Amino acid sequence: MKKKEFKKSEIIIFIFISSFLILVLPHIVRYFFFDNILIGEESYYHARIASEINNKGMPVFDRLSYNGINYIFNPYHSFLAFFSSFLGVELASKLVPLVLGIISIFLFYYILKELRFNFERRFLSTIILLLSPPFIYTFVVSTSYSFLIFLVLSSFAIFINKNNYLFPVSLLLLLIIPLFGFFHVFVIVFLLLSYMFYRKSAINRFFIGLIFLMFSSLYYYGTIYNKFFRTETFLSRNVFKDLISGLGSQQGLSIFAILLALVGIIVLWKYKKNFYPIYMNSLLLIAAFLYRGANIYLSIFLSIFAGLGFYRLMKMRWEAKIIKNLTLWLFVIGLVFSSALYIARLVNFEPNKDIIQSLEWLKENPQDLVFSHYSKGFWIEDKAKMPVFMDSLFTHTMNANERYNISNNIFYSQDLRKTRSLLKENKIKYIWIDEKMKYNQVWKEEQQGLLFLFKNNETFKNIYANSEVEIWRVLS
Amino acid sequence: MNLKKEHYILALIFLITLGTRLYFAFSTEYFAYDSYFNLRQIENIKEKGLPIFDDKLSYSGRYLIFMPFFHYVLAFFDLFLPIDFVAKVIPNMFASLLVVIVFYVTKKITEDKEAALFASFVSGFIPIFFIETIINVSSYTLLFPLILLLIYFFIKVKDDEKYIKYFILVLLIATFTSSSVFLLIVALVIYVGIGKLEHLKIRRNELELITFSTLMVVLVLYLVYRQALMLHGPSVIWQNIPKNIMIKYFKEVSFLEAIYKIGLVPFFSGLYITYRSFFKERRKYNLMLVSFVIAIALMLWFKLVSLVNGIVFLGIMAILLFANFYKLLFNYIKKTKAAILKKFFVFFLFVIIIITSIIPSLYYVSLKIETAPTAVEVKALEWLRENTNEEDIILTPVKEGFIINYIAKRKNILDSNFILISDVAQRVEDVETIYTTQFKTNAIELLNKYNIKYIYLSDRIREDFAVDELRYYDEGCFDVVYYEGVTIYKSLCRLEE
Repeated sequence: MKKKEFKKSEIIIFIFISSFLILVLPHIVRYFFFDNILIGEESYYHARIASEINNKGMPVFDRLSYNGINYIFNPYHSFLAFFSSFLGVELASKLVPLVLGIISIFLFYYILKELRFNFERRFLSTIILLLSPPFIYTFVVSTSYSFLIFLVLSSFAIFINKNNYLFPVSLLLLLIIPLFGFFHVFVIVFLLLSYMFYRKSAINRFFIGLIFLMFSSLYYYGTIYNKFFRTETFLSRNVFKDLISGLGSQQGLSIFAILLALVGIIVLWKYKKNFYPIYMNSLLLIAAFLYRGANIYLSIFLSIFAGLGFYRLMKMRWEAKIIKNLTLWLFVIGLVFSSALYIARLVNFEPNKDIIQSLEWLKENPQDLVFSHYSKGFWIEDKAKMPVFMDSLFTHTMNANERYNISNNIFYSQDLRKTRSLLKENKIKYIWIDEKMKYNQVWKEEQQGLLFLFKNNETFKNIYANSEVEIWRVLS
Repeated sequence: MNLKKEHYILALIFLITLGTRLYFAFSTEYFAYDSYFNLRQIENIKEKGLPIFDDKLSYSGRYLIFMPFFHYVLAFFDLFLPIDFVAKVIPNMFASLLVVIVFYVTKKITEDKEAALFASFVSGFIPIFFIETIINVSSYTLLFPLILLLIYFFIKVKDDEKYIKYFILVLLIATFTSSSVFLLIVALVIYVGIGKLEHLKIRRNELELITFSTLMVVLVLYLVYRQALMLHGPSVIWQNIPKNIMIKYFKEVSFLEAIYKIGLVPFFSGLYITYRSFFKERRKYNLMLVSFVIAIALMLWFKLVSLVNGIVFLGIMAILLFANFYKLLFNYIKKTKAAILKKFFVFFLFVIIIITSIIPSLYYVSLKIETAPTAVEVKALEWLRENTNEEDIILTPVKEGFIINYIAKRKNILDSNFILISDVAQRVEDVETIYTTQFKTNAIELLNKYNIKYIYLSDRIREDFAVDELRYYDEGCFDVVYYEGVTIYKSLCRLEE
C-alpha cells in the first residue's frame, strides 16, 4: 500500500492549530474561572518594567526591587514594551509568549527538516515538544525565556540555512542572546559546534558567530561583573522534584517523555554515528541538568530523542503485535495525560484573586517598604507599587544572601526585641503573608516565629485580612 | 481435561491449607486492626458502588488514594454473603491459591512433578505468610498469588502467544490491587540486567513484555498517585511514613526471626540455589527468581517495602528456589547407593519441614490471633457509636485509627494511611504527648488543637505507652464516661486564647 504523503500545508495547519490550542487553553480557562489574572511571578516584573519603558523611557534605576537597585537591561522588556504600547501590557504579556511559542514550534520543525530528519521523526519530535510542560510553561507565562528560546531557535535556524543573505540576520540575533546570561551563550555555542558535524563548511560561519557572541557577552559581563562570582547559597535544589513535572515542579519534564527519550537513546545507540551532534548535546543536557531554569533546553533535546525513540518503536520488528500497539498507545496516552494534567495545574498557579485584591488594597496605603517571602516580591512591586525588601532578582543585587539571612531571622525569631530591631534597621513598615507561606513555604507550625510575635499588638497591627492574605503594619 | 494423580494431590494440599487457615480464622470473631479500613471500603462499595475517597472520618477528614480492585472483589461476594464470612473466607482462599500457582510455576521451571508438589505443600505453610494473612483482610492476599501467576505466564510466553494476553490482563488486575506491583517491574528490570551480564538469551518477546509492563505500571501509578507525588515528591515511595513509625516497623522482626519465619529449609535451599545459579549452573529461570530476591532485598534495604511484606515475598521466592533444590538433591541421591532409601529421605525432609515450617506457623498464628481486638474493646467502641455525636473526634494511637472509623463510626485524628497527610509526624508526636504527659495544660492545648472530644484508653494502649491512666486526669476537665476494661474520657475544658 502506498504510504500517504502529507501536504506541506496540512502539516503546517495541524501544527499551527494544535500549538495554538495548547498555548491558548490555559488563558481561556484562567479568563473564565480566575478573573483573567497573569500567571507566575516573573511575568509581573516584566509587565512592570515594560509599562515603565512606555511611560518614562528606559529605566536606569529600579526603586522598588530590593528597595532600590540599578536596572540591568533585559531585551525582553523592550520587546514586550513595544507590543504593550498598542495592546496594553496585560494583553501583550499573554499574546507575545503565545505567538513566540507558535513561531518557535515551527522553527524547531524547520531545524529538524534542515538536519534531514524524515517527516515522521520531525513530526513526532515536534508534537512531543509541544506537549512538554516546560514548553507550555515557557510560552504561556510571560518570562524572558519566551523571547530567549525564540531567539535561540531562530538564530540557529537561520544559521543553518544555506542562504548567505540571511546569515547577517542570524548574527544580529546572536548578539542579543548573551544579554540573557552566560549559560545561554554556552547553549548556542554548543548548538553551533554540533552543527559542524553535519556541515564542515560551516566553520567560517561558526567563528564569525562566535565573535559576535563574545562581543555581546563582554557588554553583559560589564553590567554584572561585580556579581559574577557570587552565588545564592540559599537556593537549594531537589533535583528529582525540579526535573519531573509529576513530582510538583513548575516546569518539570514529563516522565513519559523521559522514558521515551531513554528508549530513543538505547535503541539508537547502534546508529550513534548518525546522531553524533545530538549525542554531543547530551553533554549539554548534563550541564543543563545542573542549571536552574534550563528545563526548556532539556525538553528540546529530550523531545528529539523521544521522537526518535517513538519512531524506532513504531518501525522496529515486534514479535508480539499486541504489545507493540499497546506500548505505543500507552506512550501516547502518557504524554497526552501528563500534558493535560499539567495544564490543569498551570491554570491554578498563583497569584489568585485574593492575592491581587490584597495588593490593590495595599496600593491605597502610604508608600513604605514591604517585607514578605522573596517569591512574592514581583507581585507586590507591580500591583501595590511599593518597594520590597527582597524579590527573585538575585543576579541584580550584591546582597541577596545577606537579605535572605535577615529575612530568615525575621521569619523565625521568637525574640520580639531582636525582630523589632531588624524591622527598624531595615525600615520595614508592612508585612505581607499568604497561606502558602503559613503552610510550609516559610513556617511549619501555626505559632512559629513571627506568627507568634504577631500577638504583640504594640508592635504589629493587622490592617488587612482575606481568606488568603494577611497584611500587618509595623507600629514601632 | 484428564485429571491426573498430581491434580488430586494438589487439590488435597489446597484443601488442607484452606481448612487450616479457616480453622484459625474462625477462632476469633474479629480481624487485625488494619483490616477495618478495608472492611469499611468493602461495605461502602456494596452500598454505594464506590470506595470512600473523600473520607470524613479518617484524620477527621481527608482524601484517600488506594487501589480498589481487592475491595471490589470482596464487595461482590458481600452482595450475597455476610461481610464477616466474606472477609474471613475470601482472603484466605486467595492466599491458599498460592499452593496451586506455586505447583505450576515450579513444575514449569523444574519439570519435576514431585518437586513441584512438595514445594506446593511447603508454600501453604510459609510461617510469615501464614501468620500475616489469616486474620488480616489485606490486598496482599490477592497480590502475592497474582504476582506468581504473572511469573508463570511470563515463563509460558515462549510456548504460546495467548499467554501474552493473560499476562497483560493479570498485570492490569495486579496493578489495580496494590501499588506494590512495582516490585515485579523492579525484578524484571534486574532480570534483564543480570541476563546481559550473564549472557543469557533473553527472548525478544520477553523484552517487549517487560517494556510494556514497566510503562503500564508507571502510567497507572502516576495517574492514581499524582496528588501524592505533588505533595510528597519522590518520597511518596516511602508512603509518607513518619520516621519514628518507620523505625518501629523495621524493628519488629530481627534477622534470625526473619529466617525462622521464612522457614529454615526454604531459606537455606534458596541461598544454595542462588549461589549455584551465579557460579555453577546458569539457568535462566532460576536467575529470574534470583532477580526477584535481589529486587526485594534492595527494596527492603531502601525501606521501599514494609519488612513483613518483604519477608513474605522472600519466603515465596525461597519456596520456588527450594523446588530446584529438591530436584537437585534427589537427582543426586538417585546416582548414589542410597537411591533405594529415597522414600526415607523424602519422609525425613517432610518431617524437617513440619518441624521448621508447619509447627512454627501454627504456633505463631495462635499468638497472632491474640493480637486481634478483644470483645471488651469492641464493646467500648460500640458504646462510642451509641453514645457520642457523629461529629465527635476520638483520640486513639495509629493502630486503633481504622477500628474507630469502622465500629464506632467516629472521626479519628490519625491512622496508618499516611499518604497525603502533611503534618503526620506532628500528629504522631502529639498523640503520644496526650497519652503520656503529666501536664494538664499541655494535654488540653493539644486536645483543643485537634478538637478531640473523647480519649480512648484500652489495655493495649496502656501497655504501648506504659501508662495506667491519664496522669493529668482531674474531674474538672475530664469525665470518665466509660470504664469497662477500656476507659473513655470526655474532654471538657478549653484553653482561652
